[in-house]
Amino acid sequence: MATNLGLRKGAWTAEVEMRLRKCIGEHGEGNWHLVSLRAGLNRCRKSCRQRWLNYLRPNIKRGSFSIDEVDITIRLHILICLCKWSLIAGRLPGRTSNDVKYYWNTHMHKYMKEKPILDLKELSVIKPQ
Amino acid sequence: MATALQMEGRMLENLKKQLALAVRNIQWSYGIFWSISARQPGVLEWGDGYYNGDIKTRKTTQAIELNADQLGLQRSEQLRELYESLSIGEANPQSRRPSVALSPEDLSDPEWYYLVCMSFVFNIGQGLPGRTLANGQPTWLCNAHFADSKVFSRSLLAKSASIQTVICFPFLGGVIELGVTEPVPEDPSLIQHVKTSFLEIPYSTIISKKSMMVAGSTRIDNNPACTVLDQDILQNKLIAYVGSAELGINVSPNNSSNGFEPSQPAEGSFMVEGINGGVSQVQSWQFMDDEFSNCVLHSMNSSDCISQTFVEPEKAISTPKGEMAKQPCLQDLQECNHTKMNSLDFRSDDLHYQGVLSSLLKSSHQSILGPCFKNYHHESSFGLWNKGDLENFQRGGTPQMILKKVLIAVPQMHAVGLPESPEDICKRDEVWRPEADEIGANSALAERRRREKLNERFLILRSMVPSISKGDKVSILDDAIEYVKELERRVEELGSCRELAEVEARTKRKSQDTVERISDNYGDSNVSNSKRPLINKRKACDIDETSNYNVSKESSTDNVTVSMINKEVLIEMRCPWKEGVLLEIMDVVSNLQLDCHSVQSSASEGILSLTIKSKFKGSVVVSSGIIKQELQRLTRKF
Repeated sequence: MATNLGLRKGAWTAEVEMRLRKCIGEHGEGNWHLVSLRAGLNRCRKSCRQRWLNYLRPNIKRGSFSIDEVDITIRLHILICLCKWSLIAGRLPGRTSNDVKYYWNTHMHKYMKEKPILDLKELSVIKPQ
Repeated sequence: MATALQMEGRMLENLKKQLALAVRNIQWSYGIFWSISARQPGVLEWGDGYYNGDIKTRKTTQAIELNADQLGLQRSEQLRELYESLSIGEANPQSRRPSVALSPEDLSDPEWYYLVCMSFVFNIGQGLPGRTLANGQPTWLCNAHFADSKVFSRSLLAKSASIQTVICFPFLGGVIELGVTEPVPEDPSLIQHVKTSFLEIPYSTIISKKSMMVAGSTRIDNNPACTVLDQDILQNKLIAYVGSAELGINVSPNNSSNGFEPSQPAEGSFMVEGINGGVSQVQSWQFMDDEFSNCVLHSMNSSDCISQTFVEPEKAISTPKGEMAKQPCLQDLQECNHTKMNSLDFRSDDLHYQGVLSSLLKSSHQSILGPCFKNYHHESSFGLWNKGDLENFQRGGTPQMILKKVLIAVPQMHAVGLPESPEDICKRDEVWRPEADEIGANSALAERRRREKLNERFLILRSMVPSISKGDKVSILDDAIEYVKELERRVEELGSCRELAEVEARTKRKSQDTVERISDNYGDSNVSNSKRPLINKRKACDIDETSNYNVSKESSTDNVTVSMINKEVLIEMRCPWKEGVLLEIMDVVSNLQLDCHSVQSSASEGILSLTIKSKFKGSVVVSSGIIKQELQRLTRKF
């Protein structure tokens, strides 16, 4: 309770993001508990990590999912059956597990509910010709 | 004689090994055989595959040491198994098998690629394999990871697995796809090389190996005395001969009978066999073969049940490849009869050994020998031997166990000089066993000692912690943890109070001196409290009675003790008694959102001792330090 006092929550400012970026550029990923100390951020380690992994990391792809990405997401989701977003995101270059999760929950969830068992054969027909 | 269909089945069966061979030889990452789906004609689906790429983790639980070849095959099997279990789980997650060797987290990127490929199907003319089949031409795709998804639908997957080059070529009515993580410039000769040297030739050698096995076992059945070396030469020659022949299904009788001629040199054959995966394997199995046949022979003499298998060697020979082996086999039979006689003469001394061997093998390992012996009277027996090539080897414990048993038991029996009954052997085994048991007993003893020590320590711990509720280990540990935490908290609290007191004492010395002179007792009892920072709640009442020796000038504020358990707050305090002090204290307490449910107070010699049990009214929880400060501020006013 007392230790959390004074830690900042909420939106990140551009200046703080730059410091985080610079710090990770110097020391590499990992050791998140040290990051806020090194960069002089008033943030907890979890906050730093998530900000980096989901927003600041280079090569993150923005924008809507392509048909290919949707195809792989569906395939893997059917295959893995569980919501292992990081596993699926690992197959999609430039997408974070958050992106995949949000995409699934906003776009595919409804569709899968209507049609719980999706036939892979059908999928192959959906694929671009 | 195998029909064309059976041959096809066998062909596909061998395809896995051939694919493995080819992929490993050119050191590519994976090979997939897309075959026409049986359920959906006109659609290419996963037929078979071999994975040869990077591996993240390898479970090290396998009992047998496997070489790279077998590891690769095993990994491919496991991947397929994983895929199948996952697709079963797709239908109903409950039925998912938990015993799959791999979990999705264990896979490397290329393995994921390989795994997801299993879910793909292609219409003919669609996708890379489909188009390859439609064109009948090999396709070479460089930069597969950047390819347009219209050309290569798995390009995104390939990108994540950094597969860069993919080739496809039609083969056996399906399509073979090979992929690698490096850029490889187009090279038609590579495809040709793969096709000719791995996918086609070994196939014929595998057939020839079958026929060789037939021939080999013919010899064994008829002539137990024939040496292993002889057989090897024979086989090698057969392989060399047939292997260089075309992709023939039938090995003509002439060919094989040529093979039986003893004078032909056996050179150049090792290469072919080497490709086919392990000379030694075959040899060792041949050796076992020989042994079995020995025992079969003798058990026949003693009219054992095993001899049934021997009774129909002719049949066994004639059924699978009858027209091929008939004539030479007859010749052999005649030859063998001579050699058999000779060998029996030679080996009359060893007779009982062989009797022992047969009894040994018969006695204990019926189940282990099962598949081998079945071969002798089963119709397609020789196919089994052959097909089992790899599987048998992977179950490699079997022949080893037999050999070990033979090696251990035979000298013992020799010492006795008589062939022994299986019961005796069993007894011997029991005599041998204790040594192993002793080791086990030692470790069991050590384990027991360890457990005893642990229990003892637990008891000690239990006796040390006052607030143990239950007797089991978990609650002992839990309570101990709680207790230690509480003690730590108290140490901290008391320490901080003391510091505070010291500071205050220094600043307020002058003013407090007078106070202290007035209330000596009050000061004294405080000292006694501060001298024992770790007193238990239970003991708190005793302290009141303890006589005080040291008179300190410091005014300690430890006259207030606050302990909190969940929302229950116990306040113990002492202060000089005055009119209305109790009321004021209760005011403070209720201001702190505390709900008192019991108050005990006693005044003696002008000192009020107060014990308040209370509870927080709402969800607001004030720390014990604050409560203490408030109360101390109150007492300081007096």
